Amino acid sequence: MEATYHIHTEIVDRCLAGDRTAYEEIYRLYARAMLNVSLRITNDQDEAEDVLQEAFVSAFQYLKTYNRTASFGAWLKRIVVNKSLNHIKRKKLETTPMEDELDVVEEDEEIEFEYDVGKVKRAMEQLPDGYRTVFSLYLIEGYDHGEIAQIMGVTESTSKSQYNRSKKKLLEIIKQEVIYER
Amino acid sequence: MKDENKDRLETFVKTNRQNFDQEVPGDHVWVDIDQRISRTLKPWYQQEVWLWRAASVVLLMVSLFLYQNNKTPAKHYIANNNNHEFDQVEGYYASMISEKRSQIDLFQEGKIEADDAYVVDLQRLDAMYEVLKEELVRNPSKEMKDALTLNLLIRIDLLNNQLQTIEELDREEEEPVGKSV
Repeated sequence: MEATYHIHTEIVDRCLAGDRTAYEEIYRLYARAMLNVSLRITNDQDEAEDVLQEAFVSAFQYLKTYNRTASFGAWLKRIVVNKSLNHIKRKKLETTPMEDELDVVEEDEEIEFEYDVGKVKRAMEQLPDGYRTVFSLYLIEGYDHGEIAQIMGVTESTSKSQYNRSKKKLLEIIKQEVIYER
Repeated sequence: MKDENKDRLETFVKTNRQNFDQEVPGDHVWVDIDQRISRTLKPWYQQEVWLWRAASVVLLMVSLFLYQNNKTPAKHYIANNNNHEFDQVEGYYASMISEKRSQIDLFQEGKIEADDAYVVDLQRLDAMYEVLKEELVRNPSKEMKDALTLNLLIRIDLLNNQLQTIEELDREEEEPVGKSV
């Protein structure tokens, strides 16, 4: 595989050469984005910080295995996603299979409302882990359903159907909030 | 209307993607990471890049030493039995290297994909070794043997690192993400 030039390649090289300040530079560049990736999966700030710590330590330990075919950020994000998923799996907060998680009821009321980031984030926090993870990986992190299937160990069609159900459920939650506020 | 709402949701999230990364990690996270990497990362003198520099410096010094020695009449002060001793050392390390390479090959027959840059490093060391070995025949000396031994030890260190990486990756892979998320 041919190495490609990516942004932050120089800092990665300095880390590999044993420059300790380069490690902190990498952390400062990516910590915020990676924390939010983990938070959207674990749904808990403390757990997301634990995952962040584990992910960075692993990334630094295995830095020489980063083969530069993808960007460093994409490589790191994949570590964060895997560790976040392992984290919620270990906690076994939900043991039911994804397919049986929730019955999504049809919306029976048309309500006019405007989206805002707070509304969407609050609704995401109320989604079951499986829905929230697929929703987040597809719509926010930008993975396609093939990649999500591989990451989560499900079929591509399961990923697609989970995503559609998660969107439906999210809308329901937002509408409930809108009704409650009126 | 329902589908419109879902599409509106997708458009909204994509347009406002940056605003979804609002949370920041506490300062303690970096402090903990820094402490952990201090314990686990190798000190500078054990980094591979420094081993390479050491190998190159030894090669250069040996070359200079031989160049100086060749200006004066050749001194074949190394006894044959000393050469035999070195052959034994060489044989011992060569078998160790071969055993470790077999272990790595065995791992790599499986699904683990590790970086194979170490192969290129080994090839370079091999080339350096050949140069030194030819010199040893022409000018047997203790310095030359030390340089050859160091070359072998660096190879063993590279292979040990590779084995450790593969074993750790293997352990990571043994924790697959299941369906029950």
